[in-house]
Amino acid sequence: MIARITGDRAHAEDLAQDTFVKAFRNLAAFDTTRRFSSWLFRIAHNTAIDAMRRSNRPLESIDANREMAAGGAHEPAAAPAPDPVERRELGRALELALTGLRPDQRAAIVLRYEHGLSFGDIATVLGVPEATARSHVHRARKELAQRLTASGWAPPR
Amino acid sequence: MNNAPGSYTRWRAAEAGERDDDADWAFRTVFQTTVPEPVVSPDFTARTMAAVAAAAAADARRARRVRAGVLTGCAAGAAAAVYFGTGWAISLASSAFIALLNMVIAGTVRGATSFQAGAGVWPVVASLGRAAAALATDPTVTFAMIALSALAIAALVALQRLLGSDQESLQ
Repeated sequence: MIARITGDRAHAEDLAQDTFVKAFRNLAAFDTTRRFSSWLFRIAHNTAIDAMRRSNRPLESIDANREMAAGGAHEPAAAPAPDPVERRELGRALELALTGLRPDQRAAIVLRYEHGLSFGDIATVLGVPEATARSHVHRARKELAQRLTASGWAPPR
Repeated sequence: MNNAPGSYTRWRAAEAGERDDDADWAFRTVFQTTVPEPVVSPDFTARTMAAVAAAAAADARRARRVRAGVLTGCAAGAAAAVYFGTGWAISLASSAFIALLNMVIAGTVRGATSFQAGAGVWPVVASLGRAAAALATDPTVTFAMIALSALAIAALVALQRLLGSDQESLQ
């Protein structure tokens, strides 16, 4: 999750380590009536956002946007075939599109589709109302679709 | 794995048709079957456990330092209190003792006088009560009671803090 939010895999492990240390130190503050995973994700999310702020990284990845805009790099795949190579390419395109989203939308997508959290749990992790979490996911998915179209993954007819 | 492209088609169609639930379901399949999970280095668990152990050790050291500081402070405070307050405390205690003695004597005299005069039990109890009230309203006794209460509260708070530090270091 941290790797996806920061887009920096090398640094992500250090931040994940910080997350576990913070969780260990604040175990006494954990509310046992709530889900442990949501609590841990929340610490991870805050750690990632803090790290991005500290390093003055832009909250929206301009490089990724540019790359996506110039993204006719590979062939349009209007109707992707069940081909492992194309699947990998689609995965890469999706990852790239993901880095162009705002961090809260990126986190919402990762929590929802990679970790399978409910909207309620996503809201807890992001510290927003459930309706806002739902809206983040909805908008992020729409934006991903647009970015994929821009990079050649047009919707099949 | 082979259902990813089909899901992609379904996702885009659902997205275009504003069918949010279908898009949600189809995109989940697309995401999980195409986007690879970030690779974690093999020694990540060992490094993390070492970091957690180091943090625990640092916390325990900090708790010990805090406890030592509190104990030193308490000992210094107690020594200063003994040095500066012994004479005053003895004087206060003797005043309180004399006041208590006065109350006992007054109570005894009043009780004996009342019995001699043939009074009932209630006037005797009332005279004893008046003697006790006279003791409690004596400024020295009142001050001594307040000082003792404050001392007891301070001791309880200090004890609670020390036990709290112990629990933290155990955790």
